[in-house]
Amino acid sequence: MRMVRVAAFLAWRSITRGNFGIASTTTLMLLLIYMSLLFLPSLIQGAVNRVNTQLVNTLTTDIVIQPDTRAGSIDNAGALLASIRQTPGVDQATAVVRVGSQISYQGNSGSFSVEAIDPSSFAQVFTTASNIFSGHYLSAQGPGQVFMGIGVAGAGQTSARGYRASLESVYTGDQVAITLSNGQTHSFTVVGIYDNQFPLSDGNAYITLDQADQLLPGVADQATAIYVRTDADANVNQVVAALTPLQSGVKFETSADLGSAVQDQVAAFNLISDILKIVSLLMAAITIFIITYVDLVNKRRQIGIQRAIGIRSAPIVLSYVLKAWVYALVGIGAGFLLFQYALTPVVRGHPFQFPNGPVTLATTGGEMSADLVFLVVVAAIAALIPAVRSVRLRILDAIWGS
Amino acid sequence: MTEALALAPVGGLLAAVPLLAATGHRLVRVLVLVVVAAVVLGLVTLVTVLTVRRLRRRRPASGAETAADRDSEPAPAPEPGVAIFVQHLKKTYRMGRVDVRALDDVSLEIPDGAMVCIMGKSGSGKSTLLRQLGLIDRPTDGRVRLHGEDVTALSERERTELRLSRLGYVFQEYALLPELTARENVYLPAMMLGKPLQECRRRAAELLEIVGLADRSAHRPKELSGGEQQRVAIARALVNEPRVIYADEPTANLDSAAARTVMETLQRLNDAFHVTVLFVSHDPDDARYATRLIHLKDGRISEAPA
Repeated sequence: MRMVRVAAFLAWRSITRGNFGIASTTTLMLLLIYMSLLFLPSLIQGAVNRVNTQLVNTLTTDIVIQPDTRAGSIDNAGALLASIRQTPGVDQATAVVRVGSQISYQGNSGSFSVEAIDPSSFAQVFTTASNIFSGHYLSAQGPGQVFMGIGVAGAGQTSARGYRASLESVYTGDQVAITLSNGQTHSFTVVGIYDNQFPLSDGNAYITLDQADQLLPGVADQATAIYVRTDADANVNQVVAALTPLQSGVKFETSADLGSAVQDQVAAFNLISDILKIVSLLMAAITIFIITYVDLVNKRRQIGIQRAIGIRSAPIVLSYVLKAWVYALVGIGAGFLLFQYALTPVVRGHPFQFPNGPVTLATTGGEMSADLVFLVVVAAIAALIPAVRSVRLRILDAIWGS
Repeated sequence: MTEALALAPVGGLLAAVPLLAATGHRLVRVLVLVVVAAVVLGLVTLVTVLTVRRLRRRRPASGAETAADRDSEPAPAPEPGVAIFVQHLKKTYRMGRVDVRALDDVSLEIPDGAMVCIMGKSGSGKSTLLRQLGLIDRPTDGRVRLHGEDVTALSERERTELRLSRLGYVFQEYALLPELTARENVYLPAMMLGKPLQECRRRAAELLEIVGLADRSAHRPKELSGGEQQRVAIARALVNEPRVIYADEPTANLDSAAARTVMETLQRLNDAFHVTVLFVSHDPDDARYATRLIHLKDGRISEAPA
């Protein structure tokens, strides 16, 4: 205990009465290193969150129910939907029927997924209806309406991703020809174009279920997929368990299952992030090492005198480790405040524009704590090595500076 | 000891790693491997170093007469009341390829409570002798007893403990810690001894009063004159109530007035506390304060009464 007391005493006096320039520069360096430790993972996490949010809001919602055979469809979809909506934990559900796969416009044509939807429930499950690029969303009664993504229409947005695969110059009010699953082609008016900024969902076109039922009788009670949005506080797996007995011959998938495609990309980003993190930690170690080393070289005589008057090596070494910890903790504290209350709000106000849309910084307490521990451990080791080396010198060598 | 020190934070690190590993952090898995490898390597190195040291101690170089060898000889028992007993002390420094003998078979006895001045020309070995007696350096050969206890073969840790609790050392160049005030400089060794802070402060205040610097206790060394700094160093040397004080040319860098104050302070402490004082000087004026003079020439002793 007396070792710690003496070490703390020496460290504190050295910090408060030592060179302020060195102390503040060290702290600043550690602040920057801590922020760099946080920044890239936060940005990657922000991008991942963005993709996940778009995936859930525009493509998969929380639970997807599909026939367990690729070519099949879910029969009695209306009754099943009613049962699903009454299940605890379910906020809303909507059925989708794939009715076509070919859209043509003035000699341009392409394969796009054309789905029939109930505009009302669809808009409550997905946010697509509110991501309007031009025009408006489907109205329940309007005949011959189609609502299509920017990836289908193109709308002259030459810089948009997937423009070359789109119909390129379809605008709101234009007439397009859709070939339905029965092989017949019908003309539809583009009432609106949406832009989810998510290529996977921007390549769809939607018509109303009523319209589809008129053109393909009997389709209204079928579904190629049912999308279920759960309550915000619901446990998705528990809801799946509750839904499973309602229908046989279907499979249930959660957004996490369906989002596995992006996990590989996330893993690659995380690897890069980890490499940069190790580089940052190395920088922290080198910074602390150099500063401690220079400090020790300048104080070699003092250390010799301390040992000569009976101060043991342990508190001397510990005092340098404590100093490094103080610098690290002050740097981390300032870095945390700056990151949390300055950088993050600024980025939230002016997000990074990624191809998938605006991305903000997202970090977790666990990530911050782990970085804190890493930095503190690295600081301790980096200070310890030169300190141990200098107390191994003979007292006279230390005092004489040889 | 330093090996043990090096392992202490590794132990802390090892304790922290499972906590982090529980979080499943990817970086931790890599770090765990690195840390485990480092610990294994460290332990192997430590065991090797300790084994080699032990073997070296058991098998000294042939023909070399060591302090341990002398321990096997019957040592004449020092008279009661002897503070410092030195027998056949030798110190050889290696300067490049040349061995320089700084002390050559020095033997002496200093009685308890004496005030002894070691004099001699520059290079005569007087500071070297003081460092051997003050346990700051190790003799090449010979034996040193402090109050009857043989301190020649003590471990570094035991020597440090002795320097802290039973010896006081005053350096030629003040040797105060610049980031501490005069009072803090004085009580630092008392803190190291584990005394409560209040007691340390009270004791430091007393000693600064004794050396006439009560009003300078909050000043840092750079705000004190050379003489004042030296008196603070004397107060520091006294803080753990040592039985012997060594002073290595305490007046060398002082003007005559300050030098007189320092020597008077040492003499007063010697009188008042019956502390044995051994000081090195080449100034004949300082010798006046000594009860005994020891002359050194070419590392050998030639004694003369004060």
